[in-house]
Amino acid sequence: MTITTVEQAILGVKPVEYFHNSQSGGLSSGRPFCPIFTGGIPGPAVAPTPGLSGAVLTSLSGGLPFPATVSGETIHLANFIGTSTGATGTLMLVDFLWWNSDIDITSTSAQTINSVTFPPRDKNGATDGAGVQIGLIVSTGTGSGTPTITLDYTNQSGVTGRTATNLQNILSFSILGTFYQFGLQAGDTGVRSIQAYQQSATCTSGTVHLVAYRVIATLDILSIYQPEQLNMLTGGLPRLYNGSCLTPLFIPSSSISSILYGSCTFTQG
Amino acid sequence: MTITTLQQIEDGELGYPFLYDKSYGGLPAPQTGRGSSSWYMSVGNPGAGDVPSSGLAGNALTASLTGQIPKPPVNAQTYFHSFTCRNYISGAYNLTIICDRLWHNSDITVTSTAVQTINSVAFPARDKNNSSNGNGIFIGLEVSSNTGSGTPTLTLSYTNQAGVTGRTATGIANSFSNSVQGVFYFFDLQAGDTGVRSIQSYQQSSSWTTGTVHLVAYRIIATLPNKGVGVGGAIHDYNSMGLLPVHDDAVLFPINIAAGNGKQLINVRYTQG
Repeated sequence: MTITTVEQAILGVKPVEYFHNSQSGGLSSGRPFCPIFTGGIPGPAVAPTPGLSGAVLTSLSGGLPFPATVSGETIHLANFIGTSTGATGTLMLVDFLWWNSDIDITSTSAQTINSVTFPPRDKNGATDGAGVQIGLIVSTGTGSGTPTITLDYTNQSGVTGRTATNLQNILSFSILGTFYQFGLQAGDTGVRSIQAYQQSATCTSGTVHLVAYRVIATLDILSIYQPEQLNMLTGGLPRLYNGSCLTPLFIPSSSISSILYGSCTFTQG
Repeated sequence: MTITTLQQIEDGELGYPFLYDKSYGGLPAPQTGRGSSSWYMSVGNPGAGDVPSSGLAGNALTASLTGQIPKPPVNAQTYFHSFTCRNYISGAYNLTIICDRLWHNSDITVTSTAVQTINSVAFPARDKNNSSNGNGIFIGLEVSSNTGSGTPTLTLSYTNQAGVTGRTATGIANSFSNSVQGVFYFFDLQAGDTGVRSIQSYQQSSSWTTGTVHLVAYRIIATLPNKGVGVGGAIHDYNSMGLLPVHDDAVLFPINIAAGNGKQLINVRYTQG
């Protein structure tokens, strides 16, 4: 069966999945932070090594435990609860679809990516890329450089040669977990694939990875320690596709170290 | 019987709340990222939970235990129907975590920096799959008698949910001196792990001078965000949480993560199939 009624959603909930990361280190106002490489609960992820064309993610060590696929059943987000101890901001729950490695962060040449096909987890459960966004995540703190970063990508309609640039200015000495979002070219709503990546200047040192992700839910954290919640009534039970790789992503409003904690509950039936 | 319809939830609702009232005593003022447990609070209803005395290997816990959140008699599958949850301190919004306490221990030497062998007895089969593998089981350090000066780093050697030995966990947040009764330190997990099957050893990087602490194995059953200001409260029911089952043997207790002192009143309603 698939979940088609509120009753099925209520009866199908799975055990609560809790997250609680260690201190983030000094965040930067307006720059997203992802705790996937930070210690805590669950244990952290190990930085990926699949090469420039990357790897599809259908399970994610360090992500929130996700229900196993059951043929004929659907999975939905039932609850998302979270807050922060340091900075207020926006706490998102995102699905990591793909990530890569081996970016040369001292190079200013175009680096060919030619990403492998993303999994069918765009907002329609397809590989077209609707709602799929790209970020650059830091797995080893960067050096003094502050490049502009650029992508050559194919959009959700299959149009090639599109260009994306970083939404947030790159900061020198970006810490572990810093996550820079890319803005899309006019008219685009998602990314189907990535062809190339380029920096305007060196980052000097560090390790970064491109990530294809989709935003599942967002919470406005208005006061530190004050937990916010989307539940089955207020969150709309967004569909989560089989093999989703979920992790928090936080956009802080101030530059202060923070611990993020909260929980997710899924319903399946 | 397993509940399979909304009507059965309402039909099985027990009609009266089970009270956990710690509104007269104050939970300790938490520090960043630490929790506070009311297990040892003597003021309130129910009274204080027993201070563990089972030694370093600890003991597995089964309901009913003195100090736990009350539960109905076991005669059917039990679920949470709803909670009302209040914090009487203005502005002291908090996340209340309802946990199942599976195991705890005693006799940790808080002045020692040597490795202290734990070799925990087997945890009860109440992980998130109702097995003893440890999936979703986390470890905390709970203070039952105020510590002295000292801010040791806390380290565990454990076996993970897949049976892999030699894993290492550390306190998610640094310890602080003069930790008062009820402070609850969360341990992290090593990369890739989602739970703890057993604990082999415990070590501090420095002395805590005085005090009494206990390791606790727990599983999170429900999380209750409370945005109460003053006497404001929050209601969480199956419509918003989903229908969460409660194991017959669960030893329920709350951990509070808040910005300041807390005084807690939790009413729990259950339904049975």
